[in-house]
Amino acid sequence: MKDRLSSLVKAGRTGAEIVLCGPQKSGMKRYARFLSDCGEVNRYSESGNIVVRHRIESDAKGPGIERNFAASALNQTLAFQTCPGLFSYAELDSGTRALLEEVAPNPGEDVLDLGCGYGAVGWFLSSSAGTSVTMSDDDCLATSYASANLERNGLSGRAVVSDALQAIDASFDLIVSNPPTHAGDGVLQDMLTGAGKHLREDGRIVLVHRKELGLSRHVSSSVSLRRETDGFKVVEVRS
Amino acid sequence: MRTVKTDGYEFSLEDGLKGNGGVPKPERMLASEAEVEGRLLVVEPDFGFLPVCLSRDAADIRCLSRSARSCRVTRDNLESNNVEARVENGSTPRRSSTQPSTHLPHTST
Repeated sequence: MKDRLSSLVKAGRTGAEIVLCGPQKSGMKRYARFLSDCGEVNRYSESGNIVVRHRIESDAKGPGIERNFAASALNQTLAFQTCPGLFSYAELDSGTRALLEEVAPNPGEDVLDLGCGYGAVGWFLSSSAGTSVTMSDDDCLATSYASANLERNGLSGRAVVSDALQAIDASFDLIVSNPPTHAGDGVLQDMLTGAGKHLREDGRIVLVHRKELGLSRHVSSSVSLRRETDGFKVVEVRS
Repeated sequence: MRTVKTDGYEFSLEDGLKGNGGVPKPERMLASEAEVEGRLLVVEPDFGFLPVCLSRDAADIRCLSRSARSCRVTRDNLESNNVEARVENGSTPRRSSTQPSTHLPHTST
C-alpha cells in the first residue's frame, strides 16, 4: 500500500490532492503518517470511517517492495519476482504445488494457464516440458510479472490480460487453472465455460480448488478427481 | 448481472468486483468528501461509482484499474450514465528495489 501511495504522489502534481477513506483499523493512520512526509495531511473521523486528505508538496520515497524467492517443483528450481498484492506473492502456494504435480503436458501441446497470477504454473510447465505456455489473468499487474519473469528465466510463452477468456483467441490442448474461487460464481462461470469453448478435441482442463468447494456445476462435461490432498482437490475435465 | 440505482445514477454490477453487493460505504464517503477541480484520476474505480458521481465538477476524468473486468464494467457504466472519461487498464508506476521506477506494460481488453 505504501508503494501505491508513493506512486500516487508521483503521479499527482504539486498542489494536487489525494483523498483516501477507509474503516477504522484498516491502516489509515499509518497511511496518513506516510503521506505526511511529502505534504500536508488532514485526517478526521466520520461515521466510523477515517478520511485522509493529503496535499502533495514533494515526491515520496518509495520503499521498494518487490519480493524475490526461489521455488522448486517438477525437478526444477525457478527464481520468482513478485510484489505484495498478488496472490501468494511470497511463496509457491500449496494448491499450485498440488496442481503442478498432477499436470503433465505432452510435447508440442498448446497450454493455457488461466488466472495465472504471477505465472508460477506457466513458468514451471514451460521450463519442464519445453512447451510454449499462454498465461492469462484479469490483473495486468500479475501478467506484467508473469511476462517479465518468463523473460528473466529465458522461457518461452506469453502473458495476456484477459477478463476470463475474452481476450484469448486461440484454442488449447491443455488448460490449467488455480482459479480465484473467492471472486464469485459469475467469474468462475465465465472462466470455466470459456475454458470449455477454447479446448481442442480430446483436450483437457485440470483445476485445483479447495476441498470444500465444488466447481463441477460450472462445467458441462464430466469431472474426474485426479488427486486429493489435505486441503485441495485436483480435478480433470475432458472435452 | 445486477443493477443498483443510487444518487440518481444506475450502475451494472458483476461478480469479481469489490462493490458487487452495492456501493461500499468508504466510496460513498469519498464521493462526498472529494472536492474536484480540474483533472481527476480515480485509481481502481471498481464499477465506476466514483468517476460518475464526481463527473459534474471534473474537467477531465481518467480511471486506472489493474482489472480488465473492472475496466469493462466501468466503461459501460460511464457510457450508460453519459459521462466521458478515459478508462485505462494499468497500474500506477511502481518503485522497484532492483529496477528504476517503471510503468508496467499491459494489454487492454
